[in-house]
Amino acid sequence: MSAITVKDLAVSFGHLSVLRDLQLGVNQGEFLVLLGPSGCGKSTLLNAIAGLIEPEAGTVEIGGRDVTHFEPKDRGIAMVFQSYALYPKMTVRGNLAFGLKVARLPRGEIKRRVHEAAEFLHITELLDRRPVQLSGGQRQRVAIGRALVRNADVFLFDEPLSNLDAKLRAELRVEIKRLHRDLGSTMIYVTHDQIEALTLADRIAVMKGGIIQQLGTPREIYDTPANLFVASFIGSPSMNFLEGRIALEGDVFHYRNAIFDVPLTAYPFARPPSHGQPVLLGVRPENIAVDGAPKPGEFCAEANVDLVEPTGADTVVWCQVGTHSISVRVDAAQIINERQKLCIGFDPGRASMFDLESGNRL
Amino acid sequence: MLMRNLAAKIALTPMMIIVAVVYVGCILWTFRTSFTSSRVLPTYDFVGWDQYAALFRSTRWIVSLENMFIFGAAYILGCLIVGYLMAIFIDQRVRGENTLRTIYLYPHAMSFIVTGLIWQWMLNPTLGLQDFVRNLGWESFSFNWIVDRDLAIFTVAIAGIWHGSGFVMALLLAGLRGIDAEIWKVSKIDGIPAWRMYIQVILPILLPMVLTCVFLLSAQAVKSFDIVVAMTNGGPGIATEVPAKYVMDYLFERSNIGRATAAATVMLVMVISIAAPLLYLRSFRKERQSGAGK
Ligand SMILES: Nc1ncnc2c1ncn2[C@@H]1O[C@H](COP(=O)(O)OP(=O)(O)OP(=O)(O)O)[C@@H](O)[C@H]1O
Ligand SMILES: [Mg+2]
Repeated sequence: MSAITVKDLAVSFGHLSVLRDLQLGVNQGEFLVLLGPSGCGKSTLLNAIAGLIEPEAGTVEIGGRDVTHFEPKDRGIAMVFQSYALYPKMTVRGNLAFGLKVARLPRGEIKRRVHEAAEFLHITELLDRRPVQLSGGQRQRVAIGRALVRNADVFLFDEPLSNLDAKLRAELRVEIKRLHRDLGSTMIYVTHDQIEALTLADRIAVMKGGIIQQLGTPREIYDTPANLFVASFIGSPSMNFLEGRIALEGDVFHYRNAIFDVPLTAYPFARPPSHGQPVLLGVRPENIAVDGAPKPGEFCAEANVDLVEPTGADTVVWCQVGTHSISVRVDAAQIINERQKLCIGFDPGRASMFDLESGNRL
Repeated sequence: MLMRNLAAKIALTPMMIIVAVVYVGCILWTFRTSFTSSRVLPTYDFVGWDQYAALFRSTRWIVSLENMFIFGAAYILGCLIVGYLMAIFIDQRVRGENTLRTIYLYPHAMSFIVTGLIWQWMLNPTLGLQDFVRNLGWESFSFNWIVDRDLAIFTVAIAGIWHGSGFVMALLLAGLRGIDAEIWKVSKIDGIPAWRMYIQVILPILLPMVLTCVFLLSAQAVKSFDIVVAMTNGGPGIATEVPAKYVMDYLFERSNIGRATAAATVMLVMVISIAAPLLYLRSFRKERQSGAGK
C-alpha cells in the first residue's frame, strides 16, 4: 500500500504555474528524497502534501485517506524546516510541548513524549534552555524533536540541514538515518545536496522545472540516469559528455567521433538507435581507467594530463583528449603528474548514451 | 578611537555645549525656582519645601495626578491593544493594505489639539454621536460620558487611543513582517490556533517593540495637556484636570511661578522614574542577547 499518493497535482502562484500534472507514490516506511536545483518546486510539492498550500487541481492521499481538503494538523504529518522555526521565546521543553498542550493531551502523556523525544535526540540537558542559547545543530535537533512528539506516520523535511556547516551536517544526516531506521515511518526529504540524497534515500525523485525527471533508487539514478539533466546534476565532478554518432557496422553498433571508436556490444540499449544518429556519450570519472593495457575488444585514447586534484581518498585528474576535457577519478596511491601522457579507456557497458536532440537515455 | 572623526567632533563641540547648557540650565533653573516664593516674576529667596507642601495639599493637583494615571493606563493599554489588532489585521495580506495603513496612521499626523476638537464634537451629546444615533431612530440611545464626572477622563483616553493606535500599529506591523514565515507553517502543522500564536508566541517576540511603544506613549501621557484643553478644558468641574495643565495654569493664569515650577519638577521626577527602569531593562536585554550570541 502506498503511504502517500499524489495524483495530477497542479500548483500555481498567480500566473506562475509551478507544478503541473504531477504524479508521485511513496511506499509505506520509505525514505524518499526530492532532489533538484533551487526553484524547481520541491518545497512547493512538500507544502502541498503538508496542506500548507492549496493545490489548483489534483489529490493528495496519506495513509489511504484523501486529505486534499484536510487541515495540515489533521493529516497525520510532522514537518521540519530549514530555518528550524522554533518558537523563539519558549524553552526547548515549551517548544516540544506547545502543540500537545494545545491539542489537550493529558499532562503525563505530554511529559512522557517530551522526555522520550529528548532522550532519543540527546537534548535532555537542553530542555530548559531557550533557542538563542543553542547552536544551529542543537536547534535543528529540537525542531526534529518537536516533529517527533507528534507521533506522526509521515515526516516531511524541507532542507533541514542546509543552514549547518559541513561537519554538523554529516552528523545530523546520520541522526536522521537512525531516526528513520528506528521509527520506520514514511519520510519525504527535500534537498539540493546530492550527497544527502544518495546517502539517505531509499528512492530519489530528481526534479527540474516542476517535473519529476526520474524516480528511482540512488543506484539507478547514479548508474542509469534517465536523461542529460539527471546525469549532469548528480555526481561530482560531473559525468563526462562526449559528442559523437552511432554507426552500424555489420550488426554491431559503434559510438564514433574523431578520437573514439567504441563498439557498443555491452551497452544495454533501451530502444535500438539508428545509423548516424547524433548522440552524447556519458561516462563517470570513476569508470574511466587509465594506463591499463586495453583488453581485447576495448579501446584506448591518448590523453594529456592537464591538472591533478588530490581529494584525499582519491585523486581527480583533468586531462585533454583531442578537444575534450575529461575528468578521471583514480586511486590516491596512483602517482600521476601534470603534463604526463596517459592512455584512457572505459567499459561501454557502464557508460550512458543520450540522444543529442531530446537528451533522453537510449 | 579617540582621534577618529576628530574634525567632526571639534565642529560639533560648541553645539553640544549649547544644547547641554540650555537643557540642563533650564532644568536646573526650574528646580531652583521651585524652592522660591516667586509669583508673577521669579524671585530668588528660599522657602524650602513650602511650594511642594502646598502642591500636595491642593485637591486639584491630587485629582490631576490621579487623572494622569487613569488616562495613562487607559491610553497606553488601549493604544497597544487596538494597535496590535490593527497590525494583525493588516498582516493578513488584505487587499488595499497601503490605503488602510495610511488611514490608520492618519490620526497620528494630527496634533492633539485637532484630535481633541474632533472628539469634543463627536462626543458632545447634543451635536455628535448620540444625536446622530437618535436621529437614526434609536431614541433612547445615550452616550454622554463627556459630561459625566466619573467617565469624562475616559473620553479623553478614547481620543488619545484614536490618535496613538496607528503609530503602535506601524511599529508592530514592521515587527510582524519580520517574523519567519516557517514559524507560521509549523504552527499550522502543530494545529495551534492563530490567536494563541499571536498571544503566546508572537507577542513575546515583539516585546522590545512593545516596550518602545510603552515608553513613548507614557511620555506622551505625562505631557498631555493640549488634548484636555481642546476636549474638556479640565471639566466638568476639575474631573479631567491633568498635571501639565496645572503647570500651565499656575504659570500664566494664576501667576504663581513657584508653584508651577514645583509641579513641573514633580512631573520630571515621575518621567525619570518611569523611563529609568524601562531604559535599564532594554539595555539589559540587549546585553544579554549579544552575550548569548558569542
Ligand atoms: N509564495 C510564492 N509566491 C510566488 N511564487 C512562489 C511562491 N513560493 C514559491 N514560488 C515560486 O515557485 C517556484 C518554486 O519554488 P519552491 O520554493 O518550491 O522551490 P524549491 O525547489 O524549494 O527551491 P529552493 O531549493 O530554493 O528551496 C519558484 O520559482 C518560486 O519563485
Ligand atoms: Mg525550498
